[in-house]
Formats: sequence, structure tokens, C-alpha cells
Amino acid sequence: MNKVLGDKKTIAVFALPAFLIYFVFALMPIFYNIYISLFRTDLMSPAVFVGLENYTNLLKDTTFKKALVNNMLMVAGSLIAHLPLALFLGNLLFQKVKGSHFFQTVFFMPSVICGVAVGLLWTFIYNSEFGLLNKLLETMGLGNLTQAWLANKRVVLFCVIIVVMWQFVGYHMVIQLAAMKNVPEALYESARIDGASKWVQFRFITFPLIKNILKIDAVLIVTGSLKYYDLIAVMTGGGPNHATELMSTYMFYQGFRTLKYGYSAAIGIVLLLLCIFALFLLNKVFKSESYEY
Amino acid sequence: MRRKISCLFLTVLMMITVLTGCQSGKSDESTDSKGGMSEGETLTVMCLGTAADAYKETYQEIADEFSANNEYGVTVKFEFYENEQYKTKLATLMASNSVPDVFFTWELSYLQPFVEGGKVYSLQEAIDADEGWKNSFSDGVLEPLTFDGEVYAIPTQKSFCAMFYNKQIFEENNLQIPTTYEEFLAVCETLKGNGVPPMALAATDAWIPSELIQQISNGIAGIDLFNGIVEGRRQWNDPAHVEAAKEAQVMIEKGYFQDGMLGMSDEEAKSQFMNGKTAMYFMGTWEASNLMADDCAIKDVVSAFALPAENPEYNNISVGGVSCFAISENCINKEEAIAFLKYFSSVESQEKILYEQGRLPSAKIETDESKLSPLVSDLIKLSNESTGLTTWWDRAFGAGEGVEFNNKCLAVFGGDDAQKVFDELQTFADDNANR
Repeated sequence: MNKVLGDKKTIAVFALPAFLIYFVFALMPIFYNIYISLFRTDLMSPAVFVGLENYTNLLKDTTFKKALVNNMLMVAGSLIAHLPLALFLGNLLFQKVKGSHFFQTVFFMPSVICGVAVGLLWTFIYNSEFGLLNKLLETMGLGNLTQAWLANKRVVLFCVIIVVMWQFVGYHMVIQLAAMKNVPEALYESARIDGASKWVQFRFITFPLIKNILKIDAVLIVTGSLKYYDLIAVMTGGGPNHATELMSTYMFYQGFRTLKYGYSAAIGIVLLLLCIFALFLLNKVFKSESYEY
Repeated sequence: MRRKISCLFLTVLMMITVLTGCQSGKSDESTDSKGGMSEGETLTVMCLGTAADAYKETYQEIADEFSANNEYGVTVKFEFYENEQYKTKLATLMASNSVPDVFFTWELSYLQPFVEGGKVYSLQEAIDADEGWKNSFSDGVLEPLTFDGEVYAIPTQKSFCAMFYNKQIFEENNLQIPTTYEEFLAVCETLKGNGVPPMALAATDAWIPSELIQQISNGIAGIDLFNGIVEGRRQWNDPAHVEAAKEAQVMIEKGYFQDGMLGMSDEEAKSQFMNGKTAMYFMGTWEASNLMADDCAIKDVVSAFALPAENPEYNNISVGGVSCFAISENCINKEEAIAFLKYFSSVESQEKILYEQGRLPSAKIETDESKLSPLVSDLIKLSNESTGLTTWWDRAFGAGEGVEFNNKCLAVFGGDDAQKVFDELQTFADDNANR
């Protein structure tokens, strides 16, 4: 068996289907996207070559800038919820508290539900007439705070970001928890004998040893929130008046609503570049030696 | 080694899950539309419609009648999609050249890119060949469907915006139908004072505040505002738009709309009107089919009037337009498709749509008052009094400026400064020209 699998040709044969699929559905669209981003086209009439004009137009587009800022807020919100907060929750459950398995499931649950359902659920919670949030505020005597949450351009983005934070905190917690469980028990045992506090144990044992996983996790978080789409599409559709527009929703809007596919492709490429840049940046930030244990 | 294999295995697994997840929907579609064409016996018609829309049944009935009686032996199959879904789907199918044989469309800029892209079959020849068919349409309805002198779609319905009102509430409050804008505001004030929310309006769908602002601005500047913007003589930040937006803001301030307007969907707002909680509801005439349905609590007391213009000389210029069907260029059975469009726009079918669903026909037909519900006959009266139609901006300009106009009107309803908002719209229009 090992002999067969050691053969480069066999490996190539086995890798071929995956590569083909990857090539057709990932690489080709990317290059095609770069290509059409240089044109003014609705994909029906003859395309007009405009060079980098789509990109220079993007720089002037206030809606795009707004989407970019919104995306950055989304990244910040996700990073807060999915690194420190998830790590904190993960660490709590790691302490073998009673019912930790139960809570693990509870925290993980929201990320199992599909984005559209989560969006609908929270649309109801935020509903100005029968929504849970407004009712809750009223019973707490904070009736003057009630409002149409998803219609107020000043709060709507934060309303949506909170949902994203809530939805995925369990997911990242489970990833981090799994990494923590890989750390050998012996290390903690000797730390305890030396009288190390829980914080010291976390700071000097757990954290350095799961840093690699944290890096991967951070990449998932950042790229995930850069290209975030479904919740926004369901909850606000980018509205009201572009207040919750993200790059992905704006890309959809420019492509499928205004039929400016070239322009829309340019947004897609900017998104891709940002993701790659984030990857590069995170690799620098999380540069760490790997430990053998 | 083992690690590498498991790595590879996991990658493949991941790709498969990702891809099957994304692709299954798409492959269904393509087989669907192809199946429709290759058999040569089915004519697929893609149309707008949600589960709540009562007219779907009548459409299907007409299609079934055609399927049973046509000389070609084709069967018509309707596919209905919800508004947003429909727009996405049609745009995608257009770009990938797999549009069903016949598709629902709106006029002007919505249809234009598809025509210019060569995706729509010209009906000029068919219309010229059939004088009777050509003359059956009301005056002017073919104009917004004509590009470069050729007609590309057949109108099936006319609609315009009207102010629906609850006669019972008006009587209880001793109110008459307002004939001037001041009277209209006075009606609102009285209702408000008597504890009845004057109007129901949903401000979560951007096009709904937008059609009201467009109607008010028609009353301020007349049809020249519309024509001027279309022809490029006037700008989006025209004083008429700003003034209309400010009027709407005054109405909001004075509480002429129901509570919670900002967070309400159209369904919720409509149900307030349909349950007699608000006195008026500004909407397109297509709503007649829902308002005269048996499950509507106010079906016997609902009627409509045209929102009076601020400048009386511009009365009765409504926001309105036509819905139509067009045939795609890659439809194999074009002859059959044309026959279906003829059948759909025939007097019998149009009467059916009018009497059963209260939808105004685009064909010239003699209406039989006895078969009409009072609401529809009021609407027909309004339609006859109308001195001009301005198409909804989001149809006249397609997405882009039109949809952006909607967004800006929503911002106005959210309390933004009207002048600033429409200046932004003008900037958008300037930028959008070369994207």
C-alpha cells in the first residue's frame, strides 16, 4: 500500500479530481473575474475595454467606501467575539466544570443553524412591533430605548454584527477548545505542583501551545467576516440606504441588480486582495516557533 | 506520510461538501429550462408571483385553456418567483443565455439591456402581420416597450398608484374625498385628531416610500419633471424632488402614518389597512385583487382616489406603468410563443384578469359594469381621468439610479436631510454613467 502511495504518479491520479474541481470552480472564476473587471460589460452587449477605470471609479464611490468601513467594523467585531471571548469561554469549559459538555453543545448550536434561518430569527427579535428585544426593554422600564432596530441607520450595523458575533462564537470556541485538549495533561500537573495560578497556567502553557491553531482560527475569522454575505442579505439586504452594505452585498447589487458586471468583478478582486493581505498580515503577527510535545 | 494522506483526503472531502452545497441548485435550473426547450412541446413561462398573490391562479387557468385548445399541441408551464428572486434569476439566465421561452418583464430600462444584448425576440413582425392584434392595445402602452422602432414585449396589465381608502372610516369621521392637496392634509389631520392613523405605509421596502415621493413630486412639477430627467434636461436633485421629500417628512412628523412604520414590512402595513385600522393606503392598483378577496375585512368599503396635486394644474398625473411578457431570442418555438401571447392579451383573457382579479387590462376592452367590483370600476374611472403616467423610477432607470432613488427616499423617511440626500443621488447618477 505504502509503495503504491509513494509513487508520484498515483498521487497525481488521486489528486487530479480535486484539482480539476478546484481549477474549474475556484481558479478559473478568479482569473475570469480579473479579466472582466477590466471591461465595462453587462455580459450581454459587447464589452468595452476600460483598463483600470473600474478600480479608479471604486476609489470615488462613496457607497463602496462605506461598505469597506462596514467590513472593517465587521472584522473588528468578529475578532473581539471570536478570539478573546471564545478563548475565555473555551478556557472556562476546559476547566472541567460540571456540565461542560452540555454548554459546549449550547454554545456551538447557533453555528449549526443555517445563516438564513439565523437571519430570520433575529429579524423577528429586532422587529419593532412584536420583537423580543423591544418587549424586553419595555418590561425593564426602558421603553424609551425601543425602536425599529433594523430601520435605524445608526444602530442597524451593530445589530447585525452582534448577531454574527453570537452565531460563530461557539464555532471558534470549539476549535480552540479542541486545541487546548491536545495540550498534555502532565504540563498542567507539574504547573499545579509548582503552585501556578489558573491565569499563569493559561498564559504560559495553554496560550503558547495553541498559538498555531489561533493563527488558523484568526485567518478563518478575518477572511470569513470580509466576505460575509448571507445574514446581511436576509436581514437588511444592505439597507436602509446602504447602511449595512458590505463589499459582498455591494458586489451582488452592482452585478445582479444594476448589471454592471465589470464593476462588480472589480469589487470582487478588491475583496480577494484584501483577504490575501489579511492572510499575509496575520502570518506576520502570529509568527511563532512550533513546540514539540 | 499518513498525515499527508489524511490531509489530502480532508481537502477532497471539504471541496466535495463545498461544491455540492453550492452547485446542486444551479444544475437543477439548467436541466429545467433545457428540458422545457428540447421537448418542443412545453412552453416555459417565467413569471413574477409569490404564494400570497391571488392572480397566479387566473394566469394558470389562462395557460391551461391555451394548452388544451391550441393548434400546435404545446403545453404552457408557468414558473413563479418572488420579486427579488425573479430579478436575480432573470439577470443570471440572461447572461448565461438560458432564459425560458417566455418571460415576464417591465418596461423601459428594465427591458432595455436585455434587448440591446440581443436576448429578446422582436415582436414587430408578428404585430405588423396581425392588424387586429396591433390595434387591440390601449394608446401608448406599446411605446415604453419599443426600442429602435421595434416592439419587444406585449403588455398584459396596466397599473398605477392610487390612494386606497376605507369609506366606512371616512363616513364615521364626516370626511369627503379630498380634491386639493390642502384638503388631503386636512383629512389626515382630522383622522389623526380622532385617533385613527391616516395612512398605512411600509418603510422597510425602499420602493414604497419612493412611489409616494414620486407621486408628490409629480404634483409639484408635473410630467416635465419625469420627462426632463429621462431626457437629461433636469437633475435628480431637482427642487421638486427635495420639496416632495420635505412634504413626506412633514407627514411623518405630524404622525400621518401608522406607528412603527419604519420597521414594518408591506405585508404588515397592508394588513393594518385591510383590518380597518388605518384609513388610507397608497399603493399600486395591483393590490385590488387582494383588497377585493373574500378574506379581506374591508372588501365592501374600500375605494380609491388619486392623491391631489400640490399644484392643481398637475392633478391626475399618476405613477404607473405596464407589466408585460417577452419572448427570448433562444426560444425554439417562437410561433407557439407568439400564439400564447396573443391568447394572453386577447379580450377573453384580459376580461378574465379584469373581472376575476381586478387587474387593469392593457387591451382596449368594453367593460361590463355589472361584472366589475365597485373598487375596480372606481380604479377604471381614475385610469380614464389620468392625464399622464410617469413610470416608477426603478423601472424607468432600471436598477442604478432608479433603485438608488428608492434608497434615498428611504433615507428621507429615516429623517435625513432632503437636499443632501438628493445631491448624493445626483452624484451617484454622474458616477454611474461610466461604470
